[in-house]
Amino acid sequence: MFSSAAGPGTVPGMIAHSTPRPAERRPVLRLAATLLVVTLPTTTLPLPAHAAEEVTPARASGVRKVVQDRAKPMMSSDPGGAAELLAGEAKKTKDPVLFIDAGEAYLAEGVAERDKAALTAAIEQASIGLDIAAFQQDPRCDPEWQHLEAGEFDREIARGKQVIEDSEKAIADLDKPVEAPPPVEEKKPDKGAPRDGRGLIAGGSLMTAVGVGGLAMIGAGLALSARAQKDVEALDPSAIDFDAQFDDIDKKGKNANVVAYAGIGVAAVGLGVGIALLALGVKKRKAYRAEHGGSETAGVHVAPALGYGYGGISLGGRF
Amino acid sequence: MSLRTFAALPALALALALGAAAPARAAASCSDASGVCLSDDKAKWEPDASLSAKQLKAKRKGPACKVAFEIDGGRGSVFVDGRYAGTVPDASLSLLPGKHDVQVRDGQKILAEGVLTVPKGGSLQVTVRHG
Repeated sequence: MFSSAAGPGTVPGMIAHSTPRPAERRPVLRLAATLLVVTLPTTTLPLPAHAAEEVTPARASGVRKVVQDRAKPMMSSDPGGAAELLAGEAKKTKDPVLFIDAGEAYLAEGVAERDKAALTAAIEQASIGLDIAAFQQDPRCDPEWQHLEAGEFDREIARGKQVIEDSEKAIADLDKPVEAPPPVEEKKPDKGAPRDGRGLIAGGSLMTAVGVGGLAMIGAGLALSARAQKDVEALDPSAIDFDAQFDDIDKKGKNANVVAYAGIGVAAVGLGVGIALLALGVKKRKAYRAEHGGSETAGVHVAPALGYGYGGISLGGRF
Repeated sequence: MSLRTFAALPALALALALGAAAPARAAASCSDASGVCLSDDKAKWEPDASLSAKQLKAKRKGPACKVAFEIDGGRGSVFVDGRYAGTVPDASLSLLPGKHDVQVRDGQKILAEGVLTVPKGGSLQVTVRHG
C-alpha cells in the first residue's frame, strides 16, 4: 500500500513508503506507523525562515485604492469613522500614504467636532507617515519594501506636513480663551413719561387748587353768613312779614354756613393732599435731575393774585 | 540612637518617598555619547554601522528578546532591518537574538542608526536621546 502526505510543513519531494503487510496486522498499529513516518521528516527539519513580504509601489497602490475607496464616502458624513478605518489599515499595511490619509481624516473630525484628541491623533498619524516616507528614501530601507514611486515622495511629504501644520493651528485655536460676547444691554421697557415726579406735581397742583377753592368757599360762606346775620339784625320784628323774611334770611345764612363748612373740609383735604403731593413731586424731581444730569428745577410756583373785584392765589408750574 | 540620627530619619524618609514618586522616565534618561543607552550589558550598540544584505538575511536562532524602545525628550519611529517596526511609545518588539540594523527617526531627522546586537531571551530597554 502506498500513502503520501502533503500537509503543511512537509518537505517537497519527500514521500512515505509502506510495505505490504500481512492482513492480520492491527489497524491501530498501522495508523500509528503511518503517522510516525509522515511526522518525522516534518519535525526534525528546521522551519524555513519567514521571508518578509515584498512590497512594491504597484502592489501597495492597489491595496491602498481599495481602502481609500471604502473611506472616501465616509469622509463627509463620518470623518471619525473614516479616520479609524484608514488608521487601522495603515497600521496593517504600514503604508505612509494611508497614515497621512488617516491624519487628514482625523483633522477633518477634529475641526468639525472641535476635538483636541482627534487633532492630536491627526498629528501622530501624519508624523508616522512622514517617518516612513523619509525612511523609504534612506539606504537602510529594504529595497523590497517600497510603497511609493520615487517621484511621489515629495508630494506625500508635503501633504503630511500640511496635515501637521493645520492640526497644530486648530489645536492653538481651540486653546485660545473664548472671548465672552459683549453683555447684551437689557432693553428697559418703555415707560412713557420719565418718572421724574411730574405726576405727583400735577396731582398736587390740582389738589392744591381744589384746596384753594375750599378756602374760597370758606370766604364766600363767611361773607354770605355775615350778610345774612346783618340782614336778620336789620329786620323789623314788628313787620307783618317778619317771620317770612326771617325764615328766608335764616335759610340763606344756614346755606352760607354749609358753604363755609364745606369749604373748610375741601380746603383742608385739598391743601393737605396737594401740598404733600407737591412736596413729594418736587423731591422726586430733584432726585431725578440729580441722577440724569438735568439742571432744571421744578417749575411750580404759587403767587397771590389780587385784582379789582377778585382775590386769590395763582398756581403755576412746568411739569 | 543619638538625637542627630533621630532627627535625620524624617529627612531620609522624605528623600526615599520622593525617590519612589519620581517618574520612571527620569531614570531612563540617556547620557551616552552615542545617544543610545541599553539596559542590558549583553546587548551591544554599534552606532552608524550597518549590516550587509547577506547579514540581514542570515537566519537567527534562539529565544526572542523583548525590546522596548524609548525616546528621551520626543517622539520617533523605529525601523528594524529595513522596515517599519513601530512608533514610540508603542514600539515594543520581539526580536530574535543577533545583530539587527536599526534606525530611529523623527521625520527627516535621524535620531539614531546603527547595529543592535540583541541577547538571547529576556528583555532589553533601548533609550534613544532626542535632539
